[in-house]
Amino acid sequence: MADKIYWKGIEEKEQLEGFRQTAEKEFNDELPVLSSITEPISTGKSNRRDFLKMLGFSVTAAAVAASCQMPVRKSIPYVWRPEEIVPGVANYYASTVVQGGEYLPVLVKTREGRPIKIEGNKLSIINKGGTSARAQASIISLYDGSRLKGPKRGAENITWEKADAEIGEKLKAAAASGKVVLFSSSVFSPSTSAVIDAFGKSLGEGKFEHLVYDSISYSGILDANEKTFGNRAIPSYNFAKAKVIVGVGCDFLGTWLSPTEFASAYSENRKVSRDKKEMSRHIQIESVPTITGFKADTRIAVKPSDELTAVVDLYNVIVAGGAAKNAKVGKAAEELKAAGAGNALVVTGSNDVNVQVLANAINNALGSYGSTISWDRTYNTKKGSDKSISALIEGLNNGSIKGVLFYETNPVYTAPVKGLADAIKKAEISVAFNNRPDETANACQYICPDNHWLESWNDVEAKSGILNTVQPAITKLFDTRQFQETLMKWSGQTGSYYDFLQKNWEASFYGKQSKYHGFWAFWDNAIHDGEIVLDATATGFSYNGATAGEAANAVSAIAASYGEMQVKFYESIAIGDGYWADNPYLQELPDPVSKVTWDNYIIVNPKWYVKNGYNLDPDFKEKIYAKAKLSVNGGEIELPVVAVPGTPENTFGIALGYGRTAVPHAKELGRGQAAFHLLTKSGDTFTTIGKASIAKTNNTELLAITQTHFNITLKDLGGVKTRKIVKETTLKEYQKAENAGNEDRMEIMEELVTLYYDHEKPGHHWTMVIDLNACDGCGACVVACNIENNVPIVGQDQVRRSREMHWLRIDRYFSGEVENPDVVFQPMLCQHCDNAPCENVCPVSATNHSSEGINQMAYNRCIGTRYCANNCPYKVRRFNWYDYQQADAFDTGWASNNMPLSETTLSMHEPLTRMVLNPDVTVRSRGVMEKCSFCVQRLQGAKLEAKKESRTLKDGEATTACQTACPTNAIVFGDRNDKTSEVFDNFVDKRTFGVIEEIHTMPNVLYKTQVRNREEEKKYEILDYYHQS
Amino acid sequence: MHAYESEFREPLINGLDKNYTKITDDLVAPTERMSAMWLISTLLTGAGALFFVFCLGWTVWFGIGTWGLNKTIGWAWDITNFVWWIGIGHAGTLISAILLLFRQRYRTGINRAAEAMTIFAVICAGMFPVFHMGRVWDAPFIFPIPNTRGPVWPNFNSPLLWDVFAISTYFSVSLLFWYSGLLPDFATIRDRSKGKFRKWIYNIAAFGWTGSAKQWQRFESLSLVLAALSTPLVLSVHTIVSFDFATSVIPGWHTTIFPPYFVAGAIFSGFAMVETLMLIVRKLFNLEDYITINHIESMNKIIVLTGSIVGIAYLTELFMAWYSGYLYEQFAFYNRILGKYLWAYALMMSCNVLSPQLYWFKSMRRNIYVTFILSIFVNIGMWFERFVIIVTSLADDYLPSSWAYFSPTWVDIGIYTGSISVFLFLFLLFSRFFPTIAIAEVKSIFRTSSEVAKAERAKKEGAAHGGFMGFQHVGPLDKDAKN
Repeated sequence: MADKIYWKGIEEKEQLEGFRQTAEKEFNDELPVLSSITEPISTGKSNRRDFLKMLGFSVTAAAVAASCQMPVRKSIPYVWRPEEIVPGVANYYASTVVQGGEYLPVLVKTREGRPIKIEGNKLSIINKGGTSARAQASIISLYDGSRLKGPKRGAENITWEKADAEIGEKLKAAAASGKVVLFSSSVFSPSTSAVIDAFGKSLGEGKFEHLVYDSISYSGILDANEKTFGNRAIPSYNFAKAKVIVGVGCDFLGTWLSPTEFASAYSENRKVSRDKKEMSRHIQIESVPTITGFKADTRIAVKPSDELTAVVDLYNVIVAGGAAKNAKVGKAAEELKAAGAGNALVVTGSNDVNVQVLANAINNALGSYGSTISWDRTYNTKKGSDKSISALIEGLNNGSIKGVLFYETNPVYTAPVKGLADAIKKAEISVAFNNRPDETANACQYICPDNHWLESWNDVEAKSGILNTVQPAITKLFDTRQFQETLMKWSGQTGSYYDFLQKNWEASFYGKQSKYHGFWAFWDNAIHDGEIVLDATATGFSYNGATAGEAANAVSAIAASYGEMQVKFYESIAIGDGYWADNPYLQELPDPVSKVTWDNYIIVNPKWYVKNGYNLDPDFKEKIYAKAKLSVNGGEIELPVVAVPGTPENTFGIALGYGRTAVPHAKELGRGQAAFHLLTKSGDTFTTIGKASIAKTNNTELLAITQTHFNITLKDLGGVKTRKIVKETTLKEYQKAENAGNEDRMEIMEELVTLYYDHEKPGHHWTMVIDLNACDGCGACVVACNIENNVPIVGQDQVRRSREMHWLRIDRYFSGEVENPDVVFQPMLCQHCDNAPCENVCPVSATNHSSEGINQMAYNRCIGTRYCANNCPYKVRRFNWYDYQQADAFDTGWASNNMPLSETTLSMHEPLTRMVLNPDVTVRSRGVMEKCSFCVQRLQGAKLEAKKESRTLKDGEATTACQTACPTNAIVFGDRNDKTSEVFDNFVDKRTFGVIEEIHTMPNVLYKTQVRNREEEKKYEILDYYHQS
Repeated sequence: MHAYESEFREPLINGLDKNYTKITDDLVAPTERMSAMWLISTLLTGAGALFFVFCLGWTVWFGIGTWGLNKTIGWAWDITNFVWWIGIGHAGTLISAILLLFRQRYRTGINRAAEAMTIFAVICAGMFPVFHMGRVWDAPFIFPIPNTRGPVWPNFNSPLLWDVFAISTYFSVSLLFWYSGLLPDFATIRDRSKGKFRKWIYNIAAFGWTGSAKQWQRFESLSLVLAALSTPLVLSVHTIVSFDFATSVIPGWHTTIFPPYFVAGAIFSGFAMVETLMLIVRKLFNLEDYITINHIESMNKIIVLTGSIVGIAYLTELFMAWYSGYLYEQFAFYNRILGKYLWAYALMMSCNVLSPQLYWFKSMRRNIYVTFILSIFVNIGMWFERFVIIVTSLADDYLPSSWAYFSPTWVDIGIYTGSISVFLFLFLLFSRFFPTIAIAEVKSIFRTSSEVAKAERAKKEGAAHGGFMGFQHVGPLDKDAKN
């Protein structure tokens, strides 16, 4: 039979083109795998199999999702979006930090209506964009869960209506039978003062008194100025103009008067460059070391009482034409004289009126007034008198004060008097306006919590004629009411404080300026810029120092009375007078001098420390510190003893502000011991110096110290060798050769030959250069970095275990003799090495290098082997040992994973506090490594802005948080490929070097040598005192 | 294997009552009855193993923060334990592979237990790199698995990744070697089994071994092939482990001497651990005739050799540090000897370098008590060697600002002691259910190296040569020699 060919249709029989094509394929339709992903089902291309796949997937996904309980997080969209808010875009509002005595013009960064970061206000002529650690940290107090949520009578919550009615009545009654006193720290808001005046008037003539008291007292200098100039005020100091600066017990870079402003001005004349090979000369005479002393070219270490006699010595040489007892001080006096009229500046931090009288006499003789000191603008930030506190307690006890109101002050804790809390209870009416629980508020009948400054309208006149505005960056979080509005209500004024403010500005300030025409232009610009400078008016205070001679005798007599062993109480940079004790960021900020966190302690001389058997743990294995009982002025205080080089023998330093009892989580935030009660009066003012005796006790304490004193120099094998970590020189050497102190760099760079090709960085090449001459170790950058990058606070115990998470730390190195060492502060952060040891050891490439020179972390990829941290020569990588951020926490009840964490750390992750988190930065979970990212989110943001405008990035647009926070502009950051940039200029400077560059890490963070303006040779004998015992 | 052996060599199987049946009886016996001693120790170590699991669970639940590590010292007991266990695991392969290739007959008495020890030590070791991860649940990231995340590969430059390959290879080859060696012995047990279940299970374990000539021939070939495969592994695994440190930039880690130094140290500690175990096993299961003083002496010779190599490495490091003139290196070693970890260095030196020197004396080498104590010393010393390398180098490296100290927590201690429990627990199970001594291999040397064989030969030779040679030394008719 012949082969028959069967066919189904014409197409097959004729083998038409279309038929052949379909017949060749096994599956006629396209494989649906790709289309089902890229195209929606509705296009009809998906078929039954896709449907089943989709179904299977959805059911599985639904099952998985349903079986794992996920926390419900509500996100509510704007129904009417506020015009100025674009989700994902930050808004900046000019405002002013006025909190706990801290004052600083700033910009508030808000995201979706939440303030998340403080930046310095560059338009301000006061701080020129610099910030302080306290200002940076003040944002967290807005989101503090322990803030008072509304008015209270005793422990009972009441409504504002009820509070107003009850207090109003009681105030009237109190005014009828006696006096009502508003007790506050210095009020330097002109409109607030106006409100207070109006309130006082409403109570009746002679029925109201405003007592001003500053816990860190400036009474001495105010009284002295009243005596010698007839003006109870503090003049402006121009540290930039002074060629020779002598500070006597005056921490003007850290805590004294206006440290951010002073640091900014001071550093102007401390930086040297190719074009400016001159710098000021700074001599510091002090007992307990401060960052100011550590930054000085010459530091004369003296006992606390000799801080007083040093002023007498200066007076004797400069004014009276005599001789100095202390030859070193005498030499300083000669230098001051040699500086020429108007080029010198002497400041002293003493609260003794006579000492300040002498300082005025000295400055007058040096011709400083009108040049480095100016009466044109005076400080309003400190106006208190130490007499106020005795006036208050006497008035309360003898019944003349029937009502007392406390505003921005906590005298029960800070006043060195006994029985104030009991005295307050004698008043018929007592009200505190504090918005957080404190010792004074606890003693009062009512608490009418004030708004946080970020929720307030206000104005500030910190220096006369310079007006700053405070505007709310968020609506009130709780049922609080601004202090001013409360007073207005109680004095029967109508309208809001905002209206009052405007009217007051129109009446008081608009006319005093000539720049803006029309009030609204003036007002809008004031709010926008945050600062308005009025023409200077106050002038013409003339010196009348007839009493200086008597003052010198009085000072000598007092100084002699302090005996052999002396204690000096000082204000800590972070905690201040204790107001900031409930701020975890500041508690965890290592003290720049001692590097201790979360505690106060007795600072002693290292040799004395070893000699008297305090050296329990010489290798800092467990950080065990022996405690001692220090008796002063009839009181006692028992604290751990910490040796700090530069402390003279028989001198003890104790920080005020610790040991708060009324703070939340008092076990952690109230650590340490309160010391205010140990201050005594010397004349009319409280003195920080005391005659002490000390006895070692058998108790010990574990201190969370982040940097201990180890040997940087190796003397034992083959001569003295010093690690190439910090480099320094003297001004003279620098004038001779720009690479002075950095001579070996050329050699190191030449030796760094490599066979490997260099990775190209065609776009940006981010580089940071830090001027060691400018860095004063204040710690503003550390806190700024914490807040910008959501760096967790881990608590005292974790810090003691060397687990602090700070991406940026400030290393402190000593050289020279123990008694009076040279100090270098070195901010240490990820060096973004172009040849990074961390990158090649990561088994999963979680850390890698960007084409812009950034060493970056892919947190999601990190499995936490910690090899990168081990292999980092700079030890800047930080591991999430626990779920510090509570990112992964399961609410399991019986043993949740947050168990080992401190209360404070946990309180930082309540929903309220989490509002401060920067949404641009990933919150890291447990078990991943993290570190400095060069604020990559800010760099990307800046690049995006430039891209939107179709242009390249301009120098200075991309900034890091540490850089903008720095009051001294020590940190320069930018693109080194841009040859016109400031950072390139710094990069090629001959002072520039990298830390331990000889191991060929090729860091992108570089440092500039420290230059000291003095004759002496470099000293490289590095401290090794702990092993002398 | 039936080559001539000098009559001067001591027998490797003692006892004139030995024959093939007796050997089988003796060596299978531990699997056929249970002693109270075994039960108690198994329960105790089992409890320890559970505590190990508990401590690991604690770590995973709360975080690595429960260990004593800090920002400066990112590895301490975890990686110390890892390297220690890996080192211990080295003796097994060395004994089975290299000694097999070198035809060292004394290997037969100890190879099975040594291999088992290797397997268990590697299991213990493997726990640490896994559980030291901050996010152990993401551990699979480390494997080069093609994935839907796009081209996300592990970093082939990282020595940690090399570790993954080295250790997994080592583990698989060792397991294969060990298990293939067990097949004829499982068959022996099966054939003696009375219970049905026991027969069935050992039959499965023996892969149905029948003992045919073809099977024996393939078995021998496989042994040789595996021996050849694992010989380089003996050297490579610890070399790669040493790269974890040698490729870094940390002074005290960054040392080219590390690979040979680590391998010698591994063999050193491995033999010590074999001795510790075998001395217990021979007592517990009455195997003194099979694990003889001769075996112990041979191992002690290797211990004194490798211990001295390690000692030379320590001194070389010190010399190089001084000779380099490099500050950081000099400081690292200065600090290692005289710094805050002086005690650890002193322990390491005395246990590892000084104590094995006793073995230059024959009386010491052949003393069971000295051997047992020294084997423990060596293990302590080798643990401290790793601790000294890892922790002292990290504690004080480049920038003095971040120097720190490590103190272990209870979890650290629990995991370490727990891992020892896991190891002993597994070994006890092994010794109860598996033949602890390779029956077939011991039988293979019966004709050459047993006391019986030597006696027989001596008898023959004595007859031929006037009976002098054998009588003097090991002749079975010499009553004194026998006792």
